[in-house]
Amino acid sequence: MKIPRYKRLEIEWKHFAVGDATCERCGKTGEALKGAIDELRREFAPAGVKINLTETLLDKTRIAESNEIRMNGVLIEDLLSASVATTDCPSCGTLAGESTCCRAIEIGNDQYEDIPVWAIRKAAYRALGVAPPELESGTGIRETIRITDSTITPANRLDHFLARWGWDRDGHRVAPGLYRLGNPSPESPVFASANYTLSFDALRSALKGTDAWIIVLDTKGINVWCAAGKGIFGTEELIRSILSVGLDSVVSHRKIIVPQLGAPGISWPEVMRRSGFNVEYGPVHVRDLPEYLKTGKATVEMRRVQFTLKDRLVLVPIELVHAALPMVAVAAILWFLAGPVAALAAVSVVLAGTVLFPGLLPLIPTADLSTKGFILGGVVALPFAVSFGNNPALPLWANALAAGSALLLIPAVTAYLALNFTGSTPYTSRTGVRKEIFRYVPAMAVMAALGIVAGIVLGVSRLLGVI
Amino acid sequence: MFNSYRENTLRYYPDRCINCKRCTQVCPHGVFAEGGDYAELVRPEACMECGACALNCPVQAIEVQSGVGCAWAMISAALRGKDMDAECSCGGGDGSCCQTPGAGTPRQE
Repeated sequence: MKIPRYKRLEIEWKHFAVGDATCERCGKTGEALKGAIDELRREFAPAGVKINLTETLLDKTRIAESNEIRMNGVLIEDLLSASVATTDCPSCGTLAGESTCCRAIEIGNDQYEDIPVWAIRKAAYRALGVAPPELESGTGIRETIRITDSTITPANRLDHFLARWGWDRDGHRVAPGLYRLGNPSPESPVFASANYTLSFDALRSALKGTDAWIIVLDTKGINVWCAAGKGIFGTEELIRSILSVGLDSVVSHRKIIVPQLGAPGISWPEVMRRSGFNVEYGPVHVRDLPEYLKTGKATVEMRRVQFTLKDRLVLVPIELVHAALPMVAVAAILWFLAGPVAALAAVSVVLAGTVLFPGLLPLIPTADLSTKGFILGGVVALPFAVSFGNNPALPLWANALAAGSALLLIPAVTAYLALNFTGSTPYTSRTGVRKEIFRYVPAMAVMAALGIVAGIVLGVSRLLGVI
Repeated sequence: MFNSYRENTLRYYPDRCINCKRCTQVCPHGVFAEGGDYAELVRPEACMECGACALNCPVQAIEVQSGVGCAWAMISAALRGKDMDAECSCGGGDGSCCQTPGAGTPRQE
């Protein structure tokens, strides 16, 4: 990044308002200003630049100044080499109670009644004494439109593989913004996606042969579903993206197709109200998109989320990666304290919780994940209990303690791993998970504690020469 | 027994429904179905409280305390002395579920 000449950016924005109400073009400018300032703050924070916005509300007598923006004292139209025009503003007219003309700015041949994000950014760069990136060399009309295709390259596959294994967890990103897929026209459909490579690549490859626009939201490299749950694949980001890429001047229609699983973050009435675009929810899976585009409707089946064996097994690598380090540590300690079979038990319990459990999920009895875990852990514990409890050199009580330790610890740990799988399933409600935690975590804790105590008693007895 | 998922916070007020069908489009578990004059609540027990229906209902005919059912995040919030309901949301940042076992789910692809 180039070093800005100034460390402060004072933005003053004046606009006409009556009470809480402001006109449409000022409202839109306000949205754009806030979006642009957020972006600018992020970009210039490393350079130590402070950005401040002052909003002044004007009454009817000063309506001519309405929607004026100054940056470090300079009018935005001067920064942009733009000219000022006045156009009829019906929205202000309604507020003021008389026919009103408001400011608009003209950049090149285009007239803007509300100030778009790209223009605010460009002006801010100039006010800070830095050349605007991407805008300076290009047309200056809007953010660059990027080009993509439907081909999944070996490099993409490697990236997907690494993402599945949790390698560089936050690094699987595509640049947010507008993409051109094939040769889209202003009538072509617009699809929204996340800037996680797995999400974006799945979408563009499913749209093979379709000319379309893809608008990639900045979800910090998180997939649509998780980002929607967090609200970052959300109403605000969608509106910001639509405005900042100038979507209304790219396409002639006002429809944007959003993945159904993005709906927990999106309020379509709000998007409609503030961007003019109607949200249509596409199917859950991109594989159904061709059919959906043909019929214009997602069937009831296409709207249902499943959790198939394949869906569950793709989660195994990341589960394993996260459990690997503690597993190796515990196995190593147990090897020294209690021998190789105990180490094997530690490895088995992790494999049970992270591989067998997702694989067998619907086959294990009961609905709660914790009880499924207790059952699976019990089955896994049996051979170890038999092995630990059959040492002819030890007295009966020591054999019982050893077997009991396996029967207590292994199901408790498996159940805990199983409970934590709730975050990966697409069906557990928070109310239910909370109930599971209160119901079963105490049992898990007591069982694990008793198992550890049994192990300690055995260890101490051995040290003291009792057994 | 052993089913903690029979009840949830989903509430539906059919008298407010304007039959826009958005809830039937956003729910991934078929909780709402298209009806004659208004949407029908057909599988309330399947609700996972994702909140999509309530957020997309233009007339507030649906209420749900939405949140992410992720035990890891809820337990770690409780352990850190924070509100286990307010804390959990999936993805991003340190110590959230998407960084932890299993959560980088491939569901939306």
